[in-house]
Amino acid sequence: MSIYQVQKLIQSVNRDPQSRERYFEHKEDFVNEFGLSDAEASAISKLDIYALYEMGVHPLLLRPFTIIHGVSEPDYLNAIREGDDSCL
Amino acid sequence: MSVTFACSVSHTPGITAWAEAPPAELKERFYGAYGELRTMLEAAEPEAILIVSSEHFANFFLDCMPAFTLGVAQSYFGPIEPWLKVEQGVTPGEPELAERLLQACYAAGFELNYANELKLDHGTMVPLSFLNPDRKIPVVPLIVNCMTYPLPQLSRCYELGTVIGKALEADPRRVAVVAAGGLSHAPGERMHGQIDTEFDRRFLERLQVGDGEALQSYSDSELEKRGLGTHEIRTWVTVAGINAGRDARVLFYEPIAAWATGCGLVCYE
Repeated sequence: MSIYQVQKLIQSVNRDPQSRERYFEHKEDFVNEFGLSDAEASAISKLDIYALYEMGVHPLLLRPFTIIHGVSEPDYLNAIREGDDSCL
Repeated sequence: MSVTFACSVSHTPGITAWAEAPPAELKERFYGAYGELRTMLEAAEPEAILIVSSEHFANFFLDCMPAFTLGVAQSYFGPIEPWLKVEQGVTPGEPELAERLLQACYAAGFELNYANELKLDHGTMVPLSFLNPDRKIPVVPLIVNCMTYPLPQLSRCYELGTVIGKALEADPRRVAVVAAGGLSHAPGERMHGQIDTEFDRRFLERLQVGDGEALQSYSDSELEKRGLGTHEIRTWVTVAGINAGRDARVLFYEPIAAWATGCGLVCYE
């Protein structure tokens, strides 16, 4: 649908404690509120970090979003570098 | 009264959040140089600090992203990051000075956004934790979009600096000016951890010789190649405009791998 809506969801979870609580407790309902495409909703629901990075989520939104999910820095970097060794 | 003190500093969150991560000797030299800046700032006895820093989705989002926003508030809460290891609290603002700067900018053709509410994040609070640790000196934040395209051109940043510099010269207050951001870094990107020391050193050389034209010459793509965080040199270029004609001196520059940033500290003579 719109990368803007994906980023809006992520910003809500990153910055608003109430949204974060709803996201973790009722993820499907929360994600549905943003009108995402199936691919976008799936990337969020599965926390597909590579897909989110590739679709253009800003790194300063994506990295904090993954920190909230307990993703370590090495795991995050491995995920976004999947299939791309040029930056290693 | 002209600018009584000016400096440009890195603000990467690791400086306070992961203070012990770099080799101890390196960290001590960096902290020591920051301490020198604090001593110089205090000796200049400023009545206010204008701090030019970058947005990190703390106040603004893609629904409405201003290029330049001047804080005109009575006070500011920060840092918003509880993990930063900087005590959270309220820093006084300087609305009268901010209003005068705003009017001067409008008169010169810069219709800045202004904000009666701004939260301070690591971009301002890391530098202020060194330079204004007791929060005694009121601040005026100028927040620049260095993050999402389109970005304000470097030439526009420099020109805005010259306008602010003239306004400060005409102001009765003693004002310190701080640029906060950079140098090369790529937070959250595939190239995270890469630091382009050649780029950083060349930028610092240009700053030291006061080559305003060269400082404005970087394209967005040249900066993006060194990481999106490198766009934060816009804050340094703005402050170079404020201090046009003054010599800059590099107190510290090292790539600090543990903080994934080319860390620079510069003062204006």
